[in-house]
Formats: sequence, C-alpha cells, structure tokens
Amino acid sequence: MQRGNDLQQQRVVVVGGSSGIGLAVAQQAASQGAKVIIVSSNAERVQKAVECISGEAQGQAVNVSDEGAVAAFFAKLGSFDHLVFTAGDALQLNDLAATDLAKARHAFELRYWASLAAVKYASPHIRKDGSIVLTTGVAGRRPHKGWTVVASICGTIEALTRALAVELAPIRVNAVCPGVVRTNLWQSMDADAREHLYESVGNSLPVGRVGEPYDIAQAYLFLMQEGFSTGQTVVVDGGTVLV
Amino acid sequence: MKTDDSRSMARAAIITGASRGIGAAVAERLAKDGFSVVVNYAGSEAEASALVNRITSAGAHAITAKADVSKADEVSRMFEVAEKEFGGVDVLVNNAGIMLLSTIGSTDDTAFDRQIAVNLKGTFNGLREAAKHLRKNGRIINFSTSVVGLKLETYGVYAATKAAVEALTGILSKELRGRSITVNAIAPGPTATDLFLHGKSQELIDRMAKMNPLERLGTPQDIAAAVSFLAGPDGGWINGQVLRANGGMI
Repeated sequence: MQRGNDLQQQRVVVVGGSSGIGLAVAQQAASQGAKVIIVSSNAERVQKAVECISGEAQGQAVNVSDEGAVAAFFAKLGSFDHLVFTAGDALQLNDLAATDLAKARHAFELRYWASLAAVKYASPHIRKDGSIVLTTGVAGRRPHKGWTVVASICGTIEALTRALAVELAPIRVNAVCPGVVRTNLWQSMDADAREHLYESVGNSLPVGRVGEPYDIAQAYLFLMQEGFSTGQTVVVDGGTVLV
Repeated sequence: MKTDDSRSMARAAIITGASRGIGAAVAERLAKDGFSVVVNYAGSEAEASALVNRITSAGAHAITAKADVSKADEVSRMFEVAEKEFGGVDVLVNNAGIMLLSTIGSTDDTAFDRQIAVNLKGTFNGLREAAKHLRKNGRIINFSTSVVGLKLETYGVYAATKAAVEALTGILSKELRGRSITVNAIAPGPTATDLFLHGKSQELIDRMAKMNPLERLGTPQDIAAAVSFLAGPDGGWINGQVLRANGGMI
C-alpha cells in the first residue's frame, strides 16, 4: 500500500525560515525527521533560528533578492526534496490615490520576483516526487480598502502556483494562503496598536483568534507530504474570507 | 527515503577549475555526454553557478563545489560532497591549473611555489582522493601541456609541473590494476582561453596559432572533445597515455 510522502530524511529548504511561519514550518519538518535548510538574508537570525530547532537543521545567509546569490546557493546545494518560500517584507497599505507607483512596483520584489528566482534556480535540483510551497494571503480574496498592492501580489502568487504546477510537473507546486497571523510581519506597528489589531481581528473571526505560526505551518507540512495535490492554494484563515 | 534514481544511475564526474576556459567546456561536454557533473571552482563562484544553471537548464545534473585544489582537505571535502550528491565518483578531470611565464633565471620563489601547489600538488591531491574513492570502471584525466615537448622559453616551471603530472599519470595507471580504472593525460597546445591569451600581444597569438599545420588556435571545445573520448566508452582501452591535442604543433 502506498504510504504518503513522509518527510523522514528528506531535505527541505525554507526561504524565510528564520522567523514566523517559515520558522514554524522548519521546526515541524525537523520534528518529523526532515533535514531542514533555513535560508534568509540575515546571518544572525538564521543562526538563532537553527539553534532553536530540535532535529537536523542548518542555515545559510543568502540575499534572497539577489538573483546571482540565489542561483549560486541552489547550484551549490544540489539535490533536495521540498522548497518552501515564506519570505516577505512589510505590507504596503495605501489608498490608491496615495499609492506611489514606484514603491508599488518594488513591493513585488521579495514576494514575487524573489519567489520566481528561487523556483527557477531550485527546480532543476528538486527530486521528482518533491514539492514547492509558496505563500500568498487572504488579501487577494477578501481585500479591504487600501490593500490594492498587497491583493495584487496575492493574486499573482496564486496564478504563479498554477502555472508552475503545470510546467514543473511531476514536482508538485502549491501555495498556502494565511489570514492574520501573529508574526513579526506586523513589527512596524507599535506594540499596543499591534495587540489591538490582533484582538479586534481575532474577535471578528469565527474561530475567535488570529492565527499562530504553528497553525499555518501545518498546511505547508500537509502540502509537502500529500502526494496528489498540485496547483492548489490552501486557505488557513480562521474564517476571514467569510466575514 | 525517496531518491531520484536517474541521479544515482548516471556516471558522475568531478572537473576541477571548471568555472571557465577548458574546464567549463569539459563540464558542459561531459554533461551533454550524460554525466552528472561537479563544477569545481576556487574563486569564480558567479561563473561556476552560471555554468551549473546552463547545464541543468539543458536537463543534466550539476552542482558547484568550491575547493582550492592545492589544499588537500578541501579536495577531500569536495569528493565527499560529490559522493553525497551523486552516490559516488566515476571520473576525475584534473583541469585546474595556473600558468606564470618567466625565464628560469628570473622566476621568483612565489611563482615557482604557486605553480607547483596548484598544478602538481593540486593534481596529486585529486589523484590521491581518486585512488581511494573512484568507482570501478572509472576514468582519470589529467592535464599536461604540449609545451613539455615543445620546450618553449619562459615555460620552464609550468612545463616542469606538467611533466611531473605526466609521470604521475603513467605510474598511477599501473597502481590501479584490478579496478578497471584508466589514467591518461591530455596535453593541449595553444588554446583560446584567458589562461593562454592573457598578457600576449595579438602578434604573438597569431604566430603561435600558425605553429601547427592546421593554422589555428585550439578551442576549449576541441580539448573537451578529447576529454570526452577518454572519459567515455570509446576511450576504454587507452591507459597510461599522454594524448597531445595541438593541431599537429608537435
């Protein structure tokens, strides 16, 4: 009988794995026996992250926005099984009239263009029954006023996921679509404002709270291991898109 | 544990000094021949990873491996990386080399030591690892130079390091009795790479190009073709030889 694709001894690269959802994915994968490689731009954060993972983990500081550095990293790494991309920077929220188009273009750099580069240079080295999991967000499905740029990026990633699922087959390509999650994505807010955000969003949701990294991480683990899913976006949002 | 079978079934080749020049051409050619390749480099990371990307885009398997061949521990680690990635090593191409031209009377110690370290010790480090790790039916291809025969002025130390490589080639071929591994050397003539062209006037380049009856410089692809022959099935009965590839210059 076919077992699922268990992560035991599999090599999992998490770009953005030094914090938040990515770190939780790295921790959960390592606890299931995977050999995790954390990639992020900040060497110190990478090192700290590796230290807090129990299991086989290593890290590499790579400027993920530098195509050459990404190419060199994957060329050196060689074969592996799963690529997870969770890296993201602060969200650009602005009413359209106040949106600076140059800044809006730049908003795609890390979340879209760096994802694309990572997939381009990683995919020749991903084993045939491996997978890629990208990260999008509920803004694409349930945008509020001021979220045009973020919503655009989310839609872009979902379409990218479908196109890659076709092109890179049999490697499976999926995406996770989180709602509001307690991570340092919101670190530019002051602490009170942030807590207020979590509380008010949490109270508005059917599940009554915002997400934690370990909630969302489980979706990545599922998509890596479940061998029949490809081209899909799994929404993990506490019911955000319903309210 | 899931493995990608095509990777572990293909033969794997390490090419030293493969980020540019003849080494890069050899890596591309062996990948085209169906080998999985390890592109070794010492400093040119961007070129090495660009080459790996070109090779993998064409459907073959390749990784980069940084190692200064003059350092035994780095060469040893490179073999470990290759074995981990490809399951074993079948072919070693000792291509990495440097060339510093000066008359024997004016060669300084640093230039002497450096050429010995990279060209001779570097090749030796590779040979020692290969003697321990190369799989049965493997191939070792060293790089000498046609200048060992031509004996051109200012090539003294360079030619000496390569004459030494030729000696190691013949002797290792005998020491590997019983393992079906062949050991040969390629001795190129003037070949259009940075190593050769650097520092030479156009007049000198043209003169050297005409030294052979085919009246041109070799190309990296010419040399890669000879390596491909020795690394592939057709070269299997050639052992302990130095194959000069120089258009008939000598």
